[in-house]
Amino acid sequence: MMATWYAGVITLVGAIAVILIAVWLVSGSEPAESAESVTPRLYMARGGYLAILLVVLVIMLMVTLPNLPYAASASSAPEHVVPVIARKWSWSIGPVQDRSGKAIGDASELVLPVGESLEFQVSSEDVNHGFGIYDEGGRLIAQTQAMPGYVNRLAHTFTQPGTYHVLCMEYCGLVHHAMVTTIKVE
Amino acid sequence: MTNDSGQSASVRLWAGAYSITALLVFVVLVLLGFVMRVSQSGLAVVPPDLFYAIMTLHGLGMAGVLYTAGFTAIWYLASKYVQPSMGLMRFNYVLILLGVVGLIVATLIGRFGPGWYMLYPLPFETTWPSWAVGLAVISVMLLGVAWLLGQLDMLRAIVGRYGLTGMLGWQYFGKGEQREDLPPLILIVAVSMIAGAVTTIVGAVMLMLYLAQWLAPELQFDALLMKNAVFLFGHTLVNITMYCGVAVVYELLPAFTGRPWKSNAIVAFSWNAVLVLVLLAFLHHLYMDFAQPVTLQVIGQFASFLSAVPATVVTIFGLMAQVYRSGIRWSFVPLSMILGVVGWIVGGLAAIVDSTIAVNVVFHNTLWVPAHFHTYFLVGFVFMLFGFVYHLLNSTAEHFAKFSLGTMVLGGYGFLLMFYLAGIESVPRRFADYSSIGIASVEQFAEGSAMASVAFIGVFVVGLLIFYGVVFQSLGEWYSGTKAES
Repeated sequence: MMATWYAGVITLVGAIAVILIAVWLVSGSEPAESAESVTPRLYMARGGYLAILLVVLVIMLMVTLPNLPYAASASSAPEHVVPVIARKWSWSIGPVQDRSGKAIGDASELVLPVGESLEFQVSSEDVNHGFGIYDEGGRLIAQTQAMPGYVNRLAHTFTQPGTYHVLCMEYCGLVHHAMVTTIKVE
Repeated sequence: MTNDSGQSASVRLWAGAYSITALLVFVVLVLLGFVMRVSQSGLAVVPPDLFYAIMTLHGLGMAGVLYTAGFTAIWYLASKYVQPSMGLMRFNYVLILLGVVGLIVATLIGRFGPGWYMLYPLPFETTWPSWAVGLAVISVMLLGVAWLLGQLDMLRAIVGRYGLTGMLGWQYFGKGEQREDLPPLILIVAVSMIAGAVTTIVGAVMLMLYLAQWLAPELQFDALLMKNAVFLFGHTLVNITMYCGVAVVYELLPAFTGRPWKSNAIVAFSWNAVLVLVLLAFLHHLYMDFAQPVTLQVIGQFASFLSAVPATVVTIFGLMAQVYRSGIRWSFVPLSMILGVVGWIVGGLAAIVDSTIAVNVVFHNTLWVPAHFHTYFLVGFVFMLFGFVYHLLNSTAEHFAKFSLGTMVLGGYGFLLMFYLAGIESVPRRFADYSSIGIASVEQFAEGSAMASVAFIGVFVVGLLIFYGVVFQSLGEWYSGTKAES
């Protein structure tokens, strides 16, 4: 998953730019001039900065808003539904259901299909938890909250077979850090 | 001798009492953070009940002490223009102290540990004793009452002089009429106090429901509604803390550059826009609650993105107009102000990245989150605050102060870098230790980066202690001089 590295690079480049501007500002305080002679130039730059910032933000909104993770905004129905119940401090995942709600596969061992669209229907029996799926490389690839009284519908399609880890992504009490399970994808 | 002439000696004394108390509480809370990172590194694992109690105290304590210190700074500086109540400030000191003591007892003795946000219904799913829940809720209520009274009193004082629309600078939108200059400090404080009062009332209602459930455990409330309420309150409190720091920069810097920093229509419009946006940005905390209406999620991203525009545009270029070719002598106070603004902008950039829903899917509740808010607090607001305290106490040990600042920059940014890298590597936050997660690469990175951050915190604390030495060294003379005046 490269998204986190892109985010990191954008932040790093931005941070370096801000620091360089600050260094330029501190070193540019001499020689002294009157405020009246410098402000018109700075106000022109302010207009430019505002315009660029707005354009960048609008582009970012246009690029990112179509990629919402919410199943409620997805146009097509999932091929399979996977119920997930969180409780302090364990997970119940499955059995996998088809579109008609009928359980399929081996009830004793959860195996999720690769390459088929899934909808995790995530809820909690007690407090808030977070259903986070990590791939074999240790990358967080999808998540949603598990909230008592609500079902959060997370759409996901596994593109690789393997053993995935589920970690709790919302602090839920004393054993939160060990609320872990695995799911097999074939 | 004093750096300011507009404030009475008793205002200075109380601002000093609050500031010194805040510095003492702050260093203790930093050390609690140090303990947390030590535990996460695997060097010495703290038992989970103690770890999460410490985490709760660290979070609540930092949000509380930094807000209180920020409020103190703007209360002191605003006293040049308006008359907030001195009696209330004294009363609030007692109220806040009681709240802090209550929280320390509830967490460190009662092991109350649901995190600063006490996400409903976790506080009541007790693994900690019921008395600790009640004590913690009542303690936070005491703090909330003190903050709300302070916000309302500050608004009363400002409205008394500048009027309801005048304090928001609406007179700048009209043409040619006679008007009194509105100091940017007052404008920013007015915006912050309105946002603070509205959202603290929401927090107060939520805490009353918590108290009701503590007294009558059979009660049940809607978890999603409560989560919206706690983040509306908590997010806004942190946000206006930052604005208090920014207001200090607007007020103090002109004394060093010799150039006035005035309000105008653009400054007024920008901060009015902030007032709207700051009340909507909290929605980004609920992106991973897929049951929340999608419209609210999209509003959250819009508000978070747009909130980057007005405050930074007018502040960055206002700052440039202050400093550029001003011939300023770079003493500790203006340096700490510039560095504070840098921390605010960098932390804000990381916040915007994370407030993108498509990105938040892989960053939510990873260490990227503490990375960004520690950036705008630790190397942002805290530097602004230190500049203010140095100014207030007439400190003069410039070389030591600048050396301490450099050390804190080094330790602070190193500490933050570990958080950012761990966030990029998908390391989850709020984990007492990482040895149980079963993913070797994440565990190794989590522990290694925590170990490095332990070292960086050490560097930061060295700088912090030198800075404390600088301000405490000037304390005696400042106190006797101010006392003699009063």
